[in-house]
Order: sequence, then structure tokens, then C-alpha cells
Amino acid sequence: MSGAVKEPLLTRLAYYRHVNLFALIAGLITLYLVLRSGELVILVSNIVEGDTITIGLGEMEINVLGRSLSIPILDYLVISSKLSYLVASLSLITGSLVKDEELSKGLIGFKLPSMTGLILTVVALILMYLGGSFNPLSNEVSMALTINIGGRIYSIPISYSIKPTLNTYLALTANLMAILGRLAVRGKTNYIRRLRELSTSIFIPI
Amino acid sequence: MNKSFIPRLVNIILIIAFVSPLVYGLYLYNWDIERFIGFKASEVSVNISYTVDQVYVKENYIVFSIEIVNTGDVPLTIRRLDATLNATLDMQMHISSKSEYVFPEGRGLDVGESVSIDLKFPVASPTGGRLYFKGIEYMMELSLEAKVYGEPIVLTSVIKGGLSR
Repeated sequence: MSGAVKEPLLTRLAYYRHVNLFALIAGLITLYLVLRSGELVILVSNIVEGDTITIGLGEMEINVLGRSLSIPILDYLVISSKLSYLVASLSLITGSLVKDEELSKGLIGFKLPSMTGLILTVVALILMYLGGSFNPLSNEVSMALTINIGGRIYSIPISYSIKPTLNTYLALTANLMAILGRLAVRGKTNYIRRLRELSTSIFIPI
Repeated sequence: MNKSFIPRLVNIILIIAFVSPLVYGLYLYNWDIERFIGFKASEVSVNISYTVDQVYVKENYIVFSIEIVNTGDVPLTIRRLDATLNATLDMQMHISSKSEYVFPEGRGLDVGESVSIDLKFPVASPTGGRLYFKGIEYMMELSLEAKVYGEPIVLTSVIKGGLSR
């Protein structure tokens, strides 16, 4: 019977007893990132030395042309990201520990990757609104900053290089682990369903 | 309880957790999206101050030694200075002359940094001989072409003064 229905490799790797290790690790890393509130990505200016933009789950710092700027939405986006990551991490941890496969599948879900995607989409929309663009090939974010010089408006092109931090890699790992955890739980539920179907078909009287 | 109820509830909590701070922020900004998304930056000041160190005559030129100081907030690169001089020599003779000074490669000026240049204004002596005066009252219109972070700008200013010897 076990030869006919084989447990997927990913599921075998992910599970220790009934604990989904991938989802658990993803949840713990996310919880750590939320509690630590460190910077996720640092953008370093290619034009002005010392100009940096720090993006993270803590305080957002923007230094452009030697001045500190503030974009109100980013402060609220930090809170949004923090809260949603907190919920996603708790959901992942709970889902990884729950014995019931269906409930575990629902709780693990694709919550963390979809929240990351949503946050990145909002950031991209803000960047587009500010006339900026992101070039993944050169790993650069460029935008035109409108400044008022002596009553006249000038558009200054500025560009930033993306400098990843340890937290960037942790966030990437957490997202990858969450996806693998979700795929593993799907594999497990499918495996159990097939086993049940098989056992049912065996015991059906002809 | 239906097994899908808890995951659905978590999904709803997740969406509320993401959306509510943004909606609250927008509410605090009176639903003004432009103000909510836009920069809240103070004006960048680009200023240049001029000091006339010396005025002297050299051949048929009145030469102004001028110190240019970047008194603004940001570094800039100066490329060209055009000047129009209107002056009265010894309270009798009115002259008008133009001069230009070009920095072929551009001259970078950090905040607070200065550079000294000599602006030569060609002036013909009324007698045909050597130009000479004891006192000068002048008004100089200056137009400085510069670049701020690669963006060309023009800064105009007027300086007035007088010297006697």
C-alpha cells in the first residue's frame, strides 16, 4: 500500500512528527524580524556621499541631498507591515504545530509571501508616484526629486544602489520557507487523502 | 466548527492589520492622498555670495577681484559668470561694460567653500591714454551658471559698492 502511494520528498523533509519545520522556521524568523524591527534594505546614494534610505520594520529614514525627508505614508506602511507580519508569523507558527492537516494547511497558507508581495507592490506604487523606477539589472532605484531652489522648481535626478543586509536574507529565507512549508502540507494532505481513498476502496465489499 | 473558519478569520485579521494603519493615516491627512504620499521636505537653499576684494586698472581694463562663496545648503558646480558693470568714475564719467569668466571644466564648490576670480571689464579711456580714476561707484549685475546635482541653474544677483583712493 505504501508503495502505491508515496509520501512526497518535500513533505518527508519538512515534517518532524506532526510539526512542519519549514513553516515553523519561517514563522520564527518573521517573528524575530518583527520584534527586532531592524532595517531590511539600505539604499545608498550614487550621487551624494552619506545619503541613504533605510527601509525596514522599524523607523524609516530618508536622507536625500544631505537632508532628512519624510513621506507620511511610509510611517504608516511600517506599522501595516509590522502588524501583518506579526499576524502572518503567529499564523505560521500555529499552523506548523497544529496536528490537523486541513487546519494546518489553512493557517500556513501563502500568507507571508502574499503579504510581502503586497508590501512590495505598495512600495513600487509609491515609487512610481514619486516618478521613480527600479532597475533590477543594475540593482538601482532612480527617481527625480523635485526641489524648490530660490522659488523655481527643479527636477534633480537621483539614484540609489540597493544594499542588502542580514535581515534581507532572513526575510527572503522566511518567505521561501513559508512557500516550502505550504507545499509540504499540501503534499501531506494529498498523501493522507490518497491513503484514505485507497483504504476505503480496499474495504468496499464487492 | 468548520475547519476553514479559523484560516478565513486569520486572513481577515491579516487584511485588517495591513489596511487599517494606512486608512487611519489617510484619515489623519484629511484623505489628501497627495499630501500623504508626497515629500515633506523643506526648501533647498542654493545661495552664492560675492565679495569684491579689490578693484584695479590693468591696461584698458577695470579688474574686479571677486570672491565667490557658496553660502547655500548644497554643493554646486559653477561653470560661467556673466557680469554687466555700470559704474561712475570720479563722479563724472559713466561707463557700462560686460565681462565673462568661464570655468572650462566647471569648478565644484562645496558648502562654505569659496573661489576667487578676476573679472576684467574693458573700458576705453576718454583721453585715449592710460585709464585712471580716483573713485568708483559701481553696480554689477551677475549671472552665474551652475549645476546642482547635474541640474543646470542660473543664479542672478546685483552687487553695489564704491571705492576711493
